[in-house]
Amino acid sequence: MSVREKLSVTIILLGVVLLFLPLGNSLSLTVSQNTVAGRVFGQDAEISADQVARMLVAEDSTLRIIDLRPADEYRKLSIPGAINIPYPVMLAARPETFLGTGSTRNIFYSNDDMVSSYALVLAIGMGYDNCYVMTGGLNEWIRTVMNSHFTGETITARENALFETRTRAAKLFREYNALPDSLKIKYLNSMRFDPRKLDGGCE
Amino acid sequence: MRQIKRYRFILAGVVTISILVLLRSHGTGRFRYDANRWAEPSYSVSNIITHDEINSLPGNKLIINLDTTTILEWAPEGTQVTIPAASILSRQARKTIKAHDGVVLLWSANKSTSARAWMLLSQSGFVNLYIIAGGTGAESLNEKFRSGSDTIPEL
Repeated sequence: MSVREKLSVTIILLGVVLLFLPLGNSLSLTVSQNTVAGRVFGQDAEISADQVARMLVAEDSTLRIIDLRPADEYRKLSIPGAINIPYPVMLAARPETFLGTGSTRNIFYSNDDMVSSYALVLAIGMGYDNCYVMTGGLNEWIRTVMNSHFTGETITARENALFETRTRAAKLFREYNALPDSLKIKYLNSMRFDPRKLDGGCE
Repeated sequence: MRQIKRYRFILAGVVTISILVLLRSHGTGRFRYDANRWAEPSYSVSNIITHDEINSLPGNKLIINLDTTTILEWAPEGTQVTIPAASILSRQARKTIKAHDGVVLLWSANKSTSARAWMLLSQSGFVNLYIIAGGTGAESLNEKFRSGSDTIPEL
């Protein structure tokens, strides 16, 4: 048998094998099962509402908050600066465009934390290790940050710092959500510290 | 036979590749292709049932308790097994679930643990998987915030 015939037979048989392979456009989880399971059930898979509040108040530039709820719920109420990627379209929305690089911390939230947990597994499985879930979702944010109150007569320094962060984050949340959509981005930009606006100083 | 003998190396190579492809596509030791398809029940919230709905599910039921510190007193005898959440994809766990002919119900006191276990198992190719949770299944915003005070108490 000639080389050409052997090559033809090989290519035809490989073609049969290719019939069993899936189409190339679908996204899959490529990280190993053990790695994903270890990461999603590990201690650093979750970030508390207080930690998110602290990062928000500190204008942490590595923070990206992702709201997984439907668009209409997002428009009514959302954490300032959050981008809306409804969970059912998360995979279709090309995750590489919003999950970004390793330097950003992507924090998923929904009303509770089941939906954000699904998203966490999918994101980590696709290789985006920089993803976390805000524990308890928006319900927990409201319970902890928005409805925070102090009832004692004196307060320790630590409690004071916590309460102050919560108060600032709650104020930001109320003001942001009271704005019409068109003004929300302007509001967030105005809250950002711009060193060019500083007056005075040594020359 | 002579032809097969002539092409034995080519055939051996193709058969080996075919077996590897079939194992990759249908085994549970790795995640399946097309994550969207395997995540589908979570989009429609059809993967969540309540305690009351358990008996209405057809066939045999296997309740997997993902919490090692809790005993499920409400579960019928012989239907529950405890598998720690972090070990849900271990060889033994997969063997247990594969051997069961019927629906598999995941339970944890923390619904996010059940959700993660569900997604891991579903993406590994397991079907007929449900999460036992309360309420309607779909998440809702239950909390309301009161108008706050910005006064910070003195140190």
